[in-house]
Amino acid sequence: MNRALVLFEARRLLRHPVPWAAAALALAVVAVRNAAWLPDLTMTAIDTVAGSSLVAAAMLVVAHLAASRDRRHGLPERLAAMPAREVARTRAVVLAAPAVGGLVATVMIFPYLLVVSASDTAAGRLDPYEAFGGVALAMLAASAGAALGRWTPWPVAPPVAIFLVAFALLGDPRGEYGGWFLPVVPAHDVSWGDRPTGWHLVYLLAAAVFCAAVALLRHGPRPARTVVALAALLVAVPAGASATASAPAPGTASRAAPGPAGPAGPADQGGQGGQGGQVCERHDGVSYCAYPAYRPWIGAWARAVRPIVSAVPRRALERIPVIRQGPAHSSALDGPNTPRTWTVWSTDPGQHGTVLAGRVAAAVTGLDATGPEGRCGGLGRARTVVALWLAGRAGPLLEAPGPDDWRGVPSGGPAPAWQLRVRMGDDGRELWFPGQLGVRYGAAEVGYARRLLGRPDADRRVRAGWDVLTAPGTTIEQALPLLGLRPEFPSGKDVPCP
Amino acid sequence: MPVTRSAPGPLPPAPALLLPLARAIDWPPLAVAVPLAAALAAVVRPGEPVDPSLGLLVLRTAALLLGAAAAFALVDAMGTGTAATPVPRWVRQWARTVMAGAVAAAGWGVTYAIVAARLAPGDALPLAGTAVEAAGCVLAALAGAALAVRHHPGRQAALAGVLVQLVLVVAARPVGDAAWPEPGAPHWDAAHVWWAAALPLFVLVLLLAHRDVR
Repeated sequence: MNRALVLFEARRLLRHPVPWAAAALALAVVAVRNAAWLPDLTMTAIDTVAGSSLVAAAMLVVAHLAASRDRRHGLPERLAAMPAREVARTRAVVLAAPAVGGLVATVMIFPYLLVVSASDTAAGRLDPYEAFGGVALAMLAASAGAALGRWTPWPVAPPVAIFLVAFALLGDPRGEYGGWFLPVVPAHDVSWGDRPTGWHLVYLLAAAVFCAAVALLRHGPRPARTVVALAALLVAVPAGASATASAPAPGTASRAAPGPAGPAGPADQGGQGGQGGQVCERHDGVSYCAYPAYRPWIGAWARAVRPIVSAVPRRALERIPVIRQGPAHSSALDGPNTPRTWTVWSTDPGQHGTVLAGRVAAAVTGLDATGPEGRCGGLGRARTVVALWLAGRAGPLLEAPGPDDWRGVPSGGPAPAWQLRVRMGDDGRELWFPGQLGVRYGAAEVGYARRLLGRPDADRRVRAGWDVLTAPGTTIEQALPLLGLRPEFPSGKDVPCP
Repeated sequence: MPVTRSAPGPLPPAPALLLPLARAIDWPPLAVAVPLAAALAAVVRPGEPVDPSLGLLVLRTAALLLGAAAAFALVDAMGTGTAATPVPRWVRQWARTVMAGAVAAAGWGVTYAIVAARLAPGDALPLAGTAVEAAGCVLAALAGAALAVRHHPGRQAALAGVLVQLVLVVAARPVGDAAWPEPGAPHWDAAHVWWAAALPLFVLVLLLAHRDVR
């Protein structure tokens, strides 16, 4: 009898369109959001589980409907004549709903994570506990829905529960107040260190059992239910407290290098030496160092600067420093024109790739903002034109910033044509750069660079005149004959320099 | 299905229609949601001023909550038996919509007043923009529930309102904060023009859903 009821409930819940529609919508939203970034399995798993909270919300509603069904449609009178009592129907729901919820969440989460992890560029580490946390979340929501359905059969209870939990999550995404007692902790930065996903999974599962026991306690405090509820509570509270105690504190990395710390030596193929727990590779004469878990991204970095390194003489590549990866939360580049990469990387070539290409173009032409003239050392110089031409080969060439634009005054509205805005996460963090070289330049430099980009023989002319063109003292006027350009832009008048 | 349809006559005086409807409406959801929204605004971060971001989140949560609760007012427990009444269905459903909407609006207004009073001196949340968002959240739930109660009996049909809200909220995630701008965001005004443009769509759905059931 009981088994038949469980199967009946499971079949009904499995056929319910709402959880499946929620899974499809959540998956689509997660896939669209993640498509903007090179895959980082650590963050992908967190985002997917956070997205699966829609499945959990759907399961809360349908489990509530299932548990409160025998109070609707005049069923109480009819069911009173049945041999199975109310408690048997509750038991069926608390067994079937979490199983179905877990199944729907599994179908949503795992195939997607497997597809992402099969990608060549998948960095980071897939934490299985994180992924199973999404399954446990749906199970907890189903149990909680059943408990709500038994204790508060008003259908307004699920929306109230959903919006209050959503408020707690959105108002406190880092778990600063609820800690890891919250069902999901969606905010993370890989530099914060490991997440206590194992304890959190135990907490979610124990909380699901507790809710199921609470649903059954509606029919009287029988010893078995009471013991199960107390035992689940005795597991859930310490597990949640343990997760909270070992949670990474935002902004204070538990170790310098994110991802699993691997031996740097064996992976070091470029002879540059792994420093700071990083592994290094050499591509096209340029050395890249990444945190071990992010090694699959090095190819994408090399592709971003390939149009530059392929256009300059081999000997010039020695000017490019080792390109190192840094954490995403560090708000600036290490130096004015130090090329570097981050633990986030957009798939949009106009974002991080453009910043990297601009800095590499500046470095390879010898532009040095740390010199005596500071950021103004490239004004009116031929090498600035060459650097902009190189940057323009690799990506979009921005307009020249105006006189006031160099002061770093934030401007509202969409990004102006002279500014590079790089998203550093889905939470809206952005880095804003005036220009793309890290040194100041004006409309003349950009104008000549555009002319050069339009010349089919630019590649040959730059290679042939490289030493003269990139010499610190060569002015634009001296370089124009070498580049095959005629004077047309007055230079240096529109850039504020001390 | 009524055997005969009464000839359209003059509509009954408002009190004769509204008082029985007001008694018939399922008020407990709003009776839960209104104090809950106000309490949320009152107790969040106790003892310290509420920063505008959190205040905005409170207002948005309150709007969604009140909309989901107002949707229950559209459930007509006698829906199958009142088709033959002289008052057409659309009048009764619109009367329910307006009454529930008014209570939800009042609840949201109280929440806004509490949040505004708890902001630090110098901080402000624009009333116009937040109110347009709230109207959108409430109307979305009402529209979803209006469609559902047309086809399904029982109070649970009103849960379609919360499902529509969740779908709209989640579907807006890929555009980041474009749909839910932070206070002071450069696209605040533009986003709320879109919100205002969506309101007639929800009203159109309500117009269609409140028609007589044949």
